[in-house]
Amino acid sequence: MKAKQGWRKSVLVMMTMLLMLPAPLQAKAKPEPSSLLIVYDSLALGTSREGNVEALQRLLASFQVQVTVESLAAYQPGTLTQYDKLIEIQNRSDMWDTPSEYVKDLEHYQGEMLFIGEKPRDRLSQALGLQLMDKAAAADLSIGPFQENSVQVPYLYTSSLGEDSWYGSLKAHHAEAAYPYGVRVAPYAYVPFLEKDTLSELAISYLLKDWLQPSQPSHYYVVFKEIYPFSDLALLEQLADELFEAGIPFIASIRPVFSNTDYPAMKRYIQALNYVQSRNGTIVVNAPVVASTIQDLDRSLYNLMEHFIDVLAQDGVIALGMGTEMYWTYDAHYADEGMSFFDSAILFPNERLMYKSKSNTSVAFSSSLYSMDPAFLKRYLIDERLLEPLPMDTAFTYDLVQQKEELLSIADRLKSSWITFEDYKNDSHIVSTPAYELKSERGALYRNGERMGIQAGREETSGDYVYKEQEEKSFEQWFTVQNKIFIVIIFITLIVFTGFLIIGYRMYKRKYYK
Amino acid sequence: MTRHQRLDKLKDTIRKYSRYVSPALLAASLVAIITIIALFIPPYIGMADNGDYFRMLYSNGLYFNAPDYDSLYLGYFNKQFGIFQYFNENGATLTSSQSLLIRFSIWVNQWFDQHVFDIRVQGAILTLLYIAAVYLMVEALTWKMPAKYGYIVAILSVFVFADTAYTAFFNSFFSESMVWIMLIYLFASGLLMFRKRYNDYAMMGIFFISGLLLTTSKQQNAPVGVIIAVIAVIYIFVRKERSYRVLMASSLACLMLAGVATYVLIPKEFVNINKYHAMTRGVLMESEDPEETLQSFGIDRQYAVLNKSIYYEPYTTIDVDSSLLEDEFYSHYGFVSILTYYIAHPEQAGKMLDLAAKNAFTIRPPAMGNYEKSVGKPFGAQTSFFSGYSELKRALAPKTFGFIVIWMLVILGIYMPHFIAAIKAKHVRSMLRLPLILMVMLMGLSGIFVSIIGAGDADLSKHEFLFTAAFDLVTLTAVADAICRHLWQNKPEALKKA
Repeated sequence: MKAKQGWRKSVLVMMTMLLMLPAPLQAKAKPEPSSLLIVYDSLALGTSREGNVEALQRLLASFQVQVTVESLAAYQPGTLTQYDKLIEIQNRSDMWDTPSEYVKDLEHYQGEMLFIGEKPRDRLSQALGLQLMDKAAAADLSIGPFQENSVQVPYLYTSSLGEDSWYGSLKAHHAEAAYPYGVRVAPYAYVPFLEKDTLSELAISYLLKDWLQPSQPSHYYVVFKEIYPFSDLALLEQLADELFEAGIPFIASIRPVFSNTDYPAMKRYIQALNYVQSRNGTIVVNAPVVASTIQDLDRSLYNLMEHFIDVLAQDGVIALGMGTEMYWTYDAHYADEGMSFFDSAILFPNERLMYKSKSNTSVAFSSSLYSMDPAFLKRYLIDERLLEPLPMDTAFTYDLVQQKEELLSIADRLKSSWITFEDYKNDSHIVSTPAYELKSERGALYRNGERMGIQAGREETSGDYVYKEQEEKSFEQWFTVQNKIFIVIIFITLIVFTGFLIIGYRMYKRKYYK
Repeated sequence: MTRHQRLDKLKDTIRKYSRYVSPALLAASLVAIITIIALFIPPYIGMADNGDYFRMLYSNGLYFNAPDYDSLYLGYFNKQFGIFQYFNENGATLTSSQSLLIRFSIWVNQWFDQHVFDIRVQGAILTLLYIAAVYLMVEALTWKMPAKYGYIVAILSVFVFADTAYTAFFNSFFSESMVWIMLIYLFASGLLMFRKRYNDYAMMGIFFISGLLLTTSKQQNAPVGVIIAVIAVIYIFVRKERSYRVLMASSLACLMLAGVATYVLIPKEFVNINKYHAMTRGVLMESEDPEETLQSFGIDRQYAVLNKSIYYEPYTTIDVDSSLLEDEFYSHYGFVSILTYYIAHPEQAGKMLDLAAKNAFTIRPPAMGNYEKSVGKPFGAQTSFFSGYSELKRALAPKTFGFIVIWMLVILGIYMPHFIAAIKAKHVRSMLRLPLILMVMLMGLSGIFVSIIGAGDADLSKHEFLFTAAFDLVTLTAVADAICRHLWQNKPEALKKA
């Protein structure tokens, strides 16, 4: 009897725990592994480590992980038990030892852990055999084909584990010895620091790859963004030609248009996109600009996006994903209304945060490219010819500049590069609206199951487009005639009236001024 | 008691009271009471922020301190704001007379509270100014008028001046409050000079200061300075003294300069909103071929997709303040080129004017709520307390530009005989009234033209405030003059003497 009760209890506990799991913002994307928690003590604003939480979020998104970000101060007891992976970011040294609910939960935590910061916890330190060697030293950081010289490293640790558990190396200037940047042996991993826009951002990605997604191959892609209907479309087509002839597939992240989509100007935009598609370009929809103005306009982002995707699809332009700043994936409104059509995304660094319904938990996509400025990579690359794909799918991102020379020089750089760029269409990407199901598979595009040819026709946009519908006028003729009659009557009346006035005035004068 | 006896008794009563309470004092007191009830007794009436406050607040050392401020936009009036206690990095610039008012209000507020600014302090200052303005205005209308007519005019004035559609602006950071009060001062001082009621130098001072504050209250009012400077030239010749003439002439020159300076010095961010609308909600909107229109301005025809769009769209193709629009769009046109375009396309201009006339008789902008959130009224709820005049006007005024033209012709027509008689009598002071009325009418018209040229059909009811204010003052004057038979019957001073 007791055993039966115990069994019931455990079922009940399990069900309660299942209910407590954070509901993913989007049911469609099913990332593996399911959930990861980041706990940070401080965002380190105003220090060299400002932005490292965001950098990590973007990296994790590219490994298709659904992430929940929690500050230590806002931590709720019991949260930790819901996650099978944990990353702790320690940006300041005075908060971790304070007894807290989090520390209590952590003592019983059984999942995998990555610690980023100065003082790794004893458990992790022992498991990885970490030993502090030096503080605030200058060192050269290198990993794979990359090297960054003279990095100010806050802490130098060595590990008693074999070098096959090491990631990258830190060669201190004052000593001959080389220390690991990262160390990992399941279920623990450690890196001493992470700074945005430095080599450490790339270095940690090697560790994250082995930790999160060891078997998946990764590729390089080329993305052009800032493409508007008012961009130089001829230049865009010329770029497409150049890259096509060089055999470089590319992605165009195009700005959506929500009104006047029947105008000739819009038709020309779509024609240019069609042409890009025919030259082995892939179209993704860039997120619209979120205005900072105050408005009382009730616009449904869902309807706007659906309309734009449909307008493109109708004319044979198959949008395969969405390009957006990373913060959109941490916003329930944007996720539901703007991104739910797509299972693939290209995440750009945040530029201007305009949250509508901020969420701690991200939406994960089954395909998510890590956008990167090629200059950033070049800064640390020892030899360009050595460049293997980075651990995550990486998109070299360029703005579609308006100067021809500048744009062609980008094309030249891509052509002379040793990097092999992947065609986005080779993977499976699905976009669904109520009217259309658009997808790609092994290089082919499909619209509602029908395979699309990618030949673009040249069609002149109609010059006789009617912008303003002439209103139906009934009795027009009648009113015109009536108008004329009235004009004549009024004129005659005016003349007669003036006559009377003159006569009256004269009579008045005659009467009184004699 | 017979009917005659009753009437005599009434006359006696009026005569007795008019010794103590003149029509002007009666009107000013009633307006004061009604305004105080509306603005300073709960539920307080004010105006919700439509997003324009930000610029005005931060450049004058205030900030939003309400934690839920985002939820108040457009819907609810908020009366308290924080006062910066540290260096204001937003660059405190004094760009308009509205800033001057806010700075003065903050200074007064700091006698009571160093940290929190209560907008009712500004409301109180404006109310005091307003009561004096109403007094002067009604005095100008009823001077030398039989008491029984004077009180009728006073009561009519109360209906216009105490309307909360006007007074609610006092509890807001919108410059309309300044525009309204200064327009009354300007008009009243001009009229009082015509009536020779007070000292001419004092009236000239009020005329100049109110004209200056009115012109510099917002960029849209830049033409006002020029209009005053041109039409009020006749005021120079009212007196023969050299000192008077020099003072008046230099005042008018100052107003002209103020107009030009206002046009040049207004911050750029503000210009972008209006420039965007001037093209997308103006020139392009009524164009038969937007692509051709764009090309005539030297803009890429692809920008036609922006046709009819508004600056406030929550989701847009392009950032309305982006460098691309700056270089390829905004930089290709300005006030003058749009004006030239409308002159070349009168049919399109006519359509825009009719569109403008639809909103020209609305005093209270429909988009903004009047109550605080704590009152519990629905989002965007507007008060109906003492709004009879504004409601009546909105409902009954024929909303076509043709009506505006007819109204102008009728008003000018009925004042014309008096003006001609004054010219014949060569009596300059008696000539003042018609130019003054024409001046206010032109100011109102400039409000309409500038709205259309400067911002298309966007926010028309708010942009056309100057017209609706001018319409009310002129119409009230005409009605008052008709009631006391000042239109034709009263001859110019010179003729009377003769």
